[in-house]
Amino acid sequence: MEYLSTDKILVIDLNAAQVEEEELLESLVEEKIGGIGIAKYLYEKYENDDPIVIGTGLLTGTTYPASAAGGITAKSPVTGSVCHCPVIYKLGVEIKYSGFDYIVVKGRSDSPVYLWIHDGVADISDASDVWGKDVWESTDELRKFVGDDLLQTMLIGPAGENGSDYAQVCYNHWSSPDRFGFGKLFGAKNLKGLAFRGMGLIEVAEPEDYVERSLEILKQVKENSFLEKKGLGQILTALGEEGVSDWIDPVTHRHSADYFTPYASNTALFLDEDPGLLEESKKEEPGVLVSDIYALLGFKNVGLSVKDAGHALKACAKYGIDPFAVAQLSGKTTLEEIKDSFDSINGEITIPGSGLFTPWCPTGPIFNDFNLSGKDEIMAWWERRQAVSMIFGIQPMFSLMCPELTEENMLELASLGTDLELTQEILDAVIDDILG
Amino acid sequence: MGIKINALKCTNCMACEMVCSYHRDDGFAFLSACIVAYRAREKKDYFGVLLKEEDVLIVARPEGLEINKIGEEADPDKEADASAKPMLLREGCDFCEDMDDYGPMCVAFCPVDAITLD
Amino acid sequence: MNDPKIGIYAGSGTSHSWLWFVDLFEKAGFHDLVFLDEFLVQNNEIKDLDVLVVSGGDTFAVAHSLGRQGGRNIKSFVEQGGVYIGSCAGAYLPMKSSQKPLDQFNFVDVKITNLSKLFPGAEIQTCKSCAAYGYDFVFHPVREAVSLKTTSFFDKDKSIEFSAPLYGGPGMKAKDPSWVLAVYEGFTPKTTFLTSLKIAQKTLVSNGAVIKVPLKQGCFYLLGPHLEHPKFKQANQFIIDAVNRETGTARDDVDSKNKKTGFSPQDLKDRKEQVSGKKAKELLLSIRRELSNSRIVTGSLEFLPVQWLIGQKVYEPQKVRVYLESMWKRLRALEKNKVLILEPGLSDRITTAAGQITIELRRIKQQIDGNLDSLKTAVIIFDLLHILSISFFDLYFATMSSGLNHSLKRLNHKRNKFR
Ligand code: SF4
Ligand code: SF4
Repeated sequence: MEYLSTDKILVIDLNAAQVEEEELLESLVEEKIGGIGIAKYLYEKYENDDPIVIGTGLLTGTTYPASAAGGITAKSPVTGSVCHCPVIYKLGVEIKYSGFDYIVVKGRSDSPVYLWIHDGVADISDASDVWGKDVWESTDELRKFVGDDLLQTMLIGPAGENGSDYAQVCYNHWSSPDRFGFGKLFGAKNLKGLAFRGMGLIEVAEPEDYVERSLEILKQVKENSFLEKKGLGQILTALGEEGVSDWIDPVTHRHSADYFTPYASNTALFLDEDPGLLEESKKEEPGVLVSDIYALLGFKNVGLSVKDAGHALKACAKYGIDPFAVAQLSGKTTLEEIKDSFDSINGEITIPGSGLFTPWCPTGPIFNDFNLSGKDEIMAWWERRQAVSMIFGIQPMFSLMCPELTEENMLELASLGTDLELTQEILDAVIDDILG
Repeated sequence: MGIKINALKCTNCMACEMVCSYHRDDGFAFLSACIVAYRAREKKDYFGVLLKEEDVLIVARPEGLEINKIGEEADPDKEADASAKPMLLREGCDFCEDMDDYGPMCVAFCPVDAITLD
Repeated sequence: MNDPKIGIYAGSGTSHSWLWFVDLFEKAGFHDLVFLDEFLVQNNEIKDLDVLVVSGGDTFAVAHSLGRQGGRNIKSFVEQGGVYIGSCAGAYLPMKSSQKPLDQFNFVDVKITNLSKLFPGAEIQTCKSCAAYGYDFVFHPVREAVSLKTTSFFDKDKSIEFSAPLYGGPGMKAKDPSWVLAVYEGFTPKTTFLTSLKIAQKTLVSNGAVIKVPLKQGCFYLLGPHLEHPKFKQANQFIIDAVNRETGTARDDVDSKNKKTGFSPQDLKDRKEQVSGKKAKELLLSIRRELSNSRIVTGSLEFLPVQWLIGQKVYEPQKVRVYLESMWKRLRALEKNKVLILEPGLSDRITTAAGQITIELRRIKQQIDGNLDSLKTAVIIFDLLHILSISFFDLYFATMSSGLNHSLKRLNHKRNKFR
């Protein structure tokens, strides 16, 4: 597969400590398009080895608006079935540029390891120096070790190592959309996580047309008035949670966006630093970056102050546990109690619809109504929208905001980018296959 | 003509970096960009934009703009060559003069209009 | 006719500008390249070359490392029909000097024009490092692109103008005016002035920029500016034409010389071994791994305000990247080969040096982050980069020109996807 692709699938066997590469065949793209379409295929191919499949969408890392996402596909210890967790921030893009479209991790390692994926090389590396450390320490340590602050990581913390049901795979220092306990799965494989860095080049079949169409779509996207807004608070307001925006304002530092994503849906809270500070903070860890609106809301609802909620989110990110599950299930109402409860979180959280996609994303449109009505219609739309986002690699929250990102133009760009004829029929079949 | 960057508007999305590199590589990559979304201080939520022009390096920080002249060597006795510059392997901004339909790509693609043309 | 056999000096004292020569010759289709450090020159491994290139760097350090024996070997190489091409520091090297150790290289009767004593009382930025060359004070009137013009001694019918960048190289006056093939014509919009325009003009304009000095059967080409700089195509062509011209006529002599000494190119080939299959794959993977590791650290050094004074020269971290990229961009073409050609021991030398560079680069990043002195580590890194790149290019050119694999040209057309 020559275009929009690194052409490579990595298969890592942790049992044998072996690394193999497979070519990504054009025929597979013609049949499954990409992202979770292909990840699901790979999951099934290696099903007997309890695989984790990490992949990127066909458009990930390009000029298509919000082409930020990758995905993790695996059997969730929480739901017992195969689920798809989006990879966000700048991590999805880094995965593709590090030289592999898909990474299959099979089996279990005898001793703790992490996977160092860089420029088309995959190293199974000893993780004994970071095993037992929290997500922040581990990320910092790996960055220091490889000598690059832009190293992108996908790691577990103590929660995953200890086998907590709601252990989360975190991205860099931050919580992720993982509500599926994938952190537990990593831990069970003795896999601390993956570190990515790549300086590759992705070729495009029709670069000029691809970029021209991207810009046209972006211009349409920019017509949306919601793009005057920024951050988590505004999303919650749009969803009817009026008070949150005012509540977090006093500790809000800045908002940032995922790769090429027009809406800045990540909000940094400064907890031990003046939130108005413009210069670089002299404090090492002045706050926390939050992308999880429901975790934030959850801590508000248990009665925490905004600062304590920020501290709780930070503690969850360090421990590598799903903050939403903690807020929902711990039954605790003070910061200290909450922090002490991480090892005893159990119970159930609701995974909506057919249980494939994370309720980290609101289960309906944001800022726009997409002409939808009725619960069932919205749920069916939401599942399809999530599937499409994760096939093409579109930031899944943004795709709930933006009607201009259509299946049609995603297919159009995918075809321009790859020189393959990718039709609505193919997409429908892939979505059917995913949704079952 | 000049590129103006409003670092406070910037959301660190890297679109400018991608399209700048694209205009040199004709493929998708980041390495050839002369505009870079600075993001190495992640825990501190500190980010901005670096732009290499022909002979100045513009550092658009949230707290203000800093312009460093590249031609000026710190040490006049220094026997340095053209490579004695920040972002050495990168070409300076050429305002995307070869991209007829677009003008400066970073300006066209910045989703929040943090980059404008002076 | 075989390719000319070209030796590129990449030993102590050189800057990365020799990598520009590698690019230039590869593009021109000269693939019979060998890479030399000071020990190989001292062992007279240059005697069978057609061309010896000494590029930019620290003249004093180059002279010091080559030593008296290296100097003798270079002289006899030229006397017996070899072509010496020196640019910048490589141009200063064979000029007359009383200063040690440059006095061991007094081969050509050429004077330099950028001497401060020629401009008494003038406001001139002198250069400490150049003072050590023993030419009173060498100063640099301008930097960056200047324009050159060929003389009637180059072509009596027409004169060609082209530009090339000057980074500390000399203006020259030859004892015999017919040696001057190109003069400095003037400046360009890109020229940066370090002195007044008047002094710059007086120092350079109409003085020699490219000089060819015959010595018995061979000659010295001295280039003031870096004609080999990749951005200056016309200047590049000037060098290629010179190599073609000189080696076309010198070939017979060299062939006969080979017969005399009993040398045949086959001897060299026989010294090399073929590696294929798993072993080749593993070697290439380990090169890829370590070059990638090193590039990644160097990428993050790109934005740090650090530089090192090594010998007489200032080095920035970005220069590390120039070395790494020169290998990285050739890696994919190499990976397409089923059979690698290399000397016994080269494989170990490459993997050891590459692994060591990663370790040292990671160390220096931590030293810089921790505000610790990093000079010693930088010296080690640049030494290792020389060792690695010489070894890597040996492997690359031996493999690519062996005829056992795909044609080099075809491969070069393919984009290097994972650069
Ligand atoms: S104008 Fe073009 S060359 Fe200049 S920074 Fe923007 S994208 Fe890069
Ligand atoms: S495109 Fe605009 S918002 Fe994105 S990083 Fe560049 S300047 Fe910032």
